[in-house]
Amino acid sequence: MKISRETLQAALCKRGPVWVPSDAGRWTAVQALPELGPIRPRRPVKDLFTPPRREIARWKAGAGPAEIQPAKPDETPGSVFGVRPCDARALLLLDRTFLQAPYVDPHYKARRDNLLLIGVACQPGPTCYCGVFGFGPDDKDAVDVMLTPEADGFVAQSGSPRGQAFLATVEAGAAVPVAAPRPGPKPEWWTGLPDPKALYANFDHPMWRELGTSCMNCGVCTQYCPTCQCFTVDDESFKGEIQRLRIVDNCQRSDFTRMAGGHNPRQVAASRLRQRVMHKFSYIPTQNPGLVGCTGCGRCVDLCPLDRHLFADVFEIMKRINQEAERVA
Amino acid sequence: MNQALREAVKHLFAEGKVKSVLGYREHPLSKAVVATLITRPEDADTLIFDDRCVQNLARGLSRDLPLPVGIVVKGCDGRAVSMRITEGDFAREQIVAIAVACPGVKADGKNLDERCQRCEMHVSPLADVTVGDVSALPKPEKTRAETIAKIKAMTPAERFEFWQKAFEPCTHCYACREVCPLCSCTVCVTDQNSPRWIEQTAKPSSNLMWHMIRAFHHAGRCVDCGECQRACPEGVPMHLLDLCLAEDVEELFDFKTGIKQGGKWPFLMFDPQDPDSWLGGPHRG
Amino acid sequence: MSENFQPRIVGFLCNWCSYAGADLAGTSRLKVPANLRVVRVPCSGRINPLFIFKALEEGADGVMVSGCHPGDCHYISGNRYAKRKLAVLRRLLDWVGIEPERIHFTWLSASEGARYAVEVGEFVDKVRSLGRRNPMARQGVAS
Repeated sequence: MKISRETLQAALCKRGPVWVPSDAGRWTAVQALPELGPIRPRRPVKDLFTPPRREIARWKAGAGPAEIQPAKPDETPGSVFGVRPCDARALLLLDRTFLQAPYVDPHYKARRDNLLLIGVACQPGPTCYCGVFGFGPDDKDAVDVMLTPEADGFVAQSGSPRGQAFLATVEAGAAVPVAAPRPGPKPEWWTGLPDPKALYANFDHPMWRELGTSCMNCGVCTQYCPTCQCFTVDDESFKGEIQRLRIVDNCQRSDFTRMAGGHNPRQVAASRLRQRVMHKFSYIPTQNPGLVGCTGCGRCVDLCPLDRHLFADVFEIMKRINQEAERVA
Repeated sequence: MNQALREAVKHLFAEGKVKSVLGYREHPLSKAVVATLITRPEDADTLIFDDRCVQNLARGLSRDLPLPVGIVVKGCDGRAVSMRITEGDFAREQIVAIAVACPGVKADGKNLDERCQRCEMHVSPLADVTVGDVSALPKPEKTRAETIAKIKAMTPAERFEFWQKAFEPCTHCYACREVCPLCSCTVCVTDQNSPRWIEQTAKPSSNLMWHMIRAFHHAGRCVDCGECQRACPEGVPMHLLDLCLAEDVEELFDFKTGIKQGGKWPFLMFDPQDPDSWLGGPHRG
Repeated sequence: MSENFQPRIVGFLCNWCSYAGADLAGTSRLKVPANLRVVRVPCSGRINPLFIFKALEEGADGVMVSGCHPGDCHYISGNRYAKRKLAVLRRLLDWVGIEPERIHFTWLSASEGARYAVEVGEFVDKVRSLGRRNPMARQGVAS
């Protein structure tokens, strides 16, 4: 159905805060829907569900036992406008970690339950690779509503029962035929996803060290990746008031696996790069058939200060593995 | 230039002077310039040097590499390697500096980098082999003092406001730390939690603490390669603070980082003539 | 408001000269403002700039560091290293926009009790006249 920008804006604002990407690419609550760029913003939408910093509990230091006040999950209803398919699909991966019984993260669940995802279709750029993972820039399977921008508004399709219910409350414009979903882009040299088992079998391949030479483990790729989800717990205090926090962590940091006692299994820089590739392209697919730990958003390629290309790494190592397997066979 | 560089590297391998070489190559798939480590002389044919070679390879030096390691260095990179030798991370014999005559690089592909416009040292002071024509290198178009003049002219309140805004986007990702060739502490101060000197989460006070302490740790050690600012995904201009302190260190101690090998860093020594006037009073432009 | 504002100042005093000097001020019954909280360190060379940054971040309105006179250091040259560190530290704080009047570095010997009282008094007055918290101070536990 067609829907005008004003109508959509009014309907979303009525629900509650509307989160949109700011000019700087960060998610902010607004009253008016902005013009969006052609592709995903710099910060992934996971910021609204697994924020960089979240309070878990607080208490006061003093004599006697502390009275711990757990933080209340935020159940404010609202919506997110401008979710791209790659970021939305990434949330499905995060769901597997944070919504799976018996350990359900109540804060994550509260946000997932209360934030309506309004997707916007993309005009893919040179580092967009959603096609590698079997979906495209119009994909509506992971959002509640998918919008295709038009001259005077949007064409809206529902992607979920919740989205359907929302659209039913909105003043509908004319029903229009929906174009077929476009295929997603891939790198021109891409031949296919790596075989997770073959990757793992080559854990000690010397090529990892070669690939690792050009990586400085700055961690920017991990910081901006929509599927990366590792976190740590830390306390901050001020004048006797103590706050326990859940903070986003980064496996590229040299101390990520350092243990009390000083032992660090991933001291060598190349081993941390290998870990990132293995986690996304081997461990996750092996443990969750049908899923890959990446959705092709391309931020790692755009933001790497050393101009590395993580997809090219994956491609190159698989090519080497396959060549060697053929020689043996 | 590429041919001369490749010949020089092959020569080093042939003479047994290096077991590996850190250099730049063009990635066959993405076509971007990336760092590479070669261990065989025939791979020297992948090495390049042109104005796309922005990265500071000194960060990639580690004792895990097959030593002695050759490293392709621009002026700034060579000063960083020199500092790491001065600070005892490497013995002089473990490094073979392949100094290239660098006319400046262009990170955006069009304009000369800001730091290159100020560069007074286009060729590494640490040079075992020199490649390229060192006689025809450009003179600086501006000075460091000019770059920081706008901050010098501000009042304290204006300065504080400036830095608060500058550091506001910081997410404590520490990419600036990871790409800096001089950030080599085994355990970074940010990772210490007993006591917790710097809070890990982003807010005005902790952002300021991190960048101030970072700048202080680099006082007299920063070689103005600008990698920190280039790596920052949020565009925080932390390098400007490094430049402010570099001016002070040069003025107070007459010390230019990484020019002489060996010798001592100014904080590890003193001069009985050091004046007491250093301890008091504001610093105004 | 400025007369009611009581600045809180952290003073890092080296054990051998400055702390003894402060002690002498006390035993001589000289008036020293209670605004200064003393932290005793073995030597001014022990001062890690982090101490001063942290004091400011935790809400100190001013910070004072005092060591032995150059040439008189109990550890021979600790104060000479301190001079270099503190010189650059002062410049860094100045670049960042912390008013230079909030930071006071000095040399005080064990016999200079009277001078200690006067310097602390003057410093406290100067900080009081700035009339507000230093801009670096944390406000509280963030929400």
